[in-house]
Amino acid sequence: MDLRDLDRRGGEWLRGAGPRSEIVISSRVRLARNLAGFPFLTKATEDQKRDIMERTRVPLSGLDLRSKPFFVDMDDADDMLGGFLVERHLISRELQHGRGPRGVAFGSDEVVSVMVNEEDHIRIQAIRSSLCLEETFRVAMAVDKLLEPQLEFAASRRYGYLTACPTNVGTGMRASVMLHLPAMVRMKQIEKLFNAARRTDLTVRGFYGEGTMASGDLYQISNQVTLGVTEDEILAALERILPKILDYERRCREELVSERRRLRLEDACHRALAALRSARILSTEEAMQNLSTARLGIVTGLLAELPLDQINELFVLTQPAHIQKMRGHVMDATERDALRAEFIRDSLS
Amino acid sequence: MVCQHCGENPATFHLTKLEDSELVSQDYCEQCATALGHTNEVALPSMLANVVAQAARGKEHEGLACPHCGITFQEFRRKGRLGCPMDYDVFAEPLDAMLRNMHDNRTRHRGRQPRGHVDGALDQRSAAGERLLHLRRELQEAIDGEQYEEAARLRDEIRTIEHQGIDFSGLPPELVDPEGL
Ligand SMILES: [Zn+2]
Ligand SMILES: [Zn+2]
Repeated sequence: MDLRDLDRRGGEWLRGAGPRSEIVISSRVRLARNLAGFPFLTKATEDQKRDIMERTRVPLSGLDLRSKPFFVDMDDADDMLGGFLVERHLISRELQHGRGPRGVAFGSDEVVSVMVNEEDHIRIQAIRSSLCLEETFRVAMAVDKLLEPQLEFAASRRYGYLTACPTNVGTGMRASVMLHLPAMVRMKQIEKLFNAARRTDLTVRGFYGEGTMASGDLYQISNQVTLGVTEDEILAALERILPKILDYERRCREELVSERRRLRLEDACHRALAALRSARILSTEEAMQNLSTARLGIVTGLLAELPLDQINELFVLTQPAHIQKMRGHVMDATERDALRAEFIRDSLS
Repeated sequence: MVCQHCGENPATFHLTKLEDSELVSQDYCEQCATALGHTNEVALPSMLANVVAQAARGKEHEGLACPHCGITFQEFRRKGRLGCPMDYDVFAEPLDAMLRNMHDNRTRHRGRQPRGHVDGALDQRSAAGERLLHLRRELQEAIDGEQYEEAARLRDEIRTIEHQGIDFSGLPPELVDPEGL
């Protein structure tokens, strides 16, 4: 098995099944760790970065990543592969565009990935389909516990796990959920999400993280505070606010299928599906928007014949680097948009 | 909040930028963000930008430097990243206000500690970590200066300290059953 096999399918987290998967795409937990006795990466030399890579390679290869692990040395990865891994949420843009020895290990089901020499020496990530923060946290913690006896992590009694950026110090933990909120967007209520987050120390980001647009009506909500709170409290804070957001989206969806609005939504969903099934040119943004509308159609029962996992997967598989990787070469936007349309057409026909 | 560009659609794209130590936030709707080409910009994490801007106003800690990794407080402020684990102690005073700002007025860790970091063991280990930082710095200097005998000696010393530091006694039960925490 090699990376090519990943081209045409998404990771486990896109399978669209599990609690509240009609709204919650995925749950994710990330842990930041650094090796004691080494400078952080801003002050690490090339030799030291290589040393860190070598030290982590053995424990990572012995790691049960829940499935056969892949290792990607980012120094050997071209732009296309880097972009591909970013689009799959296996690595960050920071790792992609970083310099010097750095890499990622992940299981073939893509539930666990471990970045080495990103902002911190080690970034453990677990990501699962639907609303299952507790379980996702346990998976990330299990990886942490497996690495811990073999790698000594920098920590202090007062500040906990020491991280390169003080915004991560303490637990080093970022828990998040990815929400699909097309009804709140359509009803012009999405501002409520930002307000709710602001009141509770949570942060809202787009599909591809900080500073990216909420493309496809996908929003990530995560904890901001990492110091002075326990890991359980971080999860609890998210779990407290989530039912309110989910309920609000549910009510907006109900409103959209109410008698006076139903025809309008039906029309929008069928137009989106028609575009996906017959367009000859589709930009990323247009594809995301139509996929979002189609997904709303599925979960409201208007487009019942479409499978949810397939639409979820298409959000990722139609991103620019994925499209180029299918053909194995770099393409300009026009060429990509045509291939994207063709790929979506084939997938949904 | 409405888009500051078209003043019409709800703003769903929020960008925080640092301009001349002042924090500037921009809020656009998706269409305008795309049209203005903001969607590919990597924004500073908003909390970080906030804190860096705040720190830029107080200049009194500017000269402070870490003896372990060499980073100055000014350099940290510019990059938003610390240089080594000891910086949390070295910059404890100016960091305190930042940490309060970032972490909802909290400054003391309450989550789990790494395995073995109980009782006095932690202090012993951070002393070892500090020693290792210095040895690695000397090692790099020896390599750069092509002093290979000195480099070999330093490598041995690093190895000795590392083997004292890590507890190899037995594997944790999670190794057998990673799911059953
Ligand atoms: Zn606008
Ligand atoms: Zn330092």
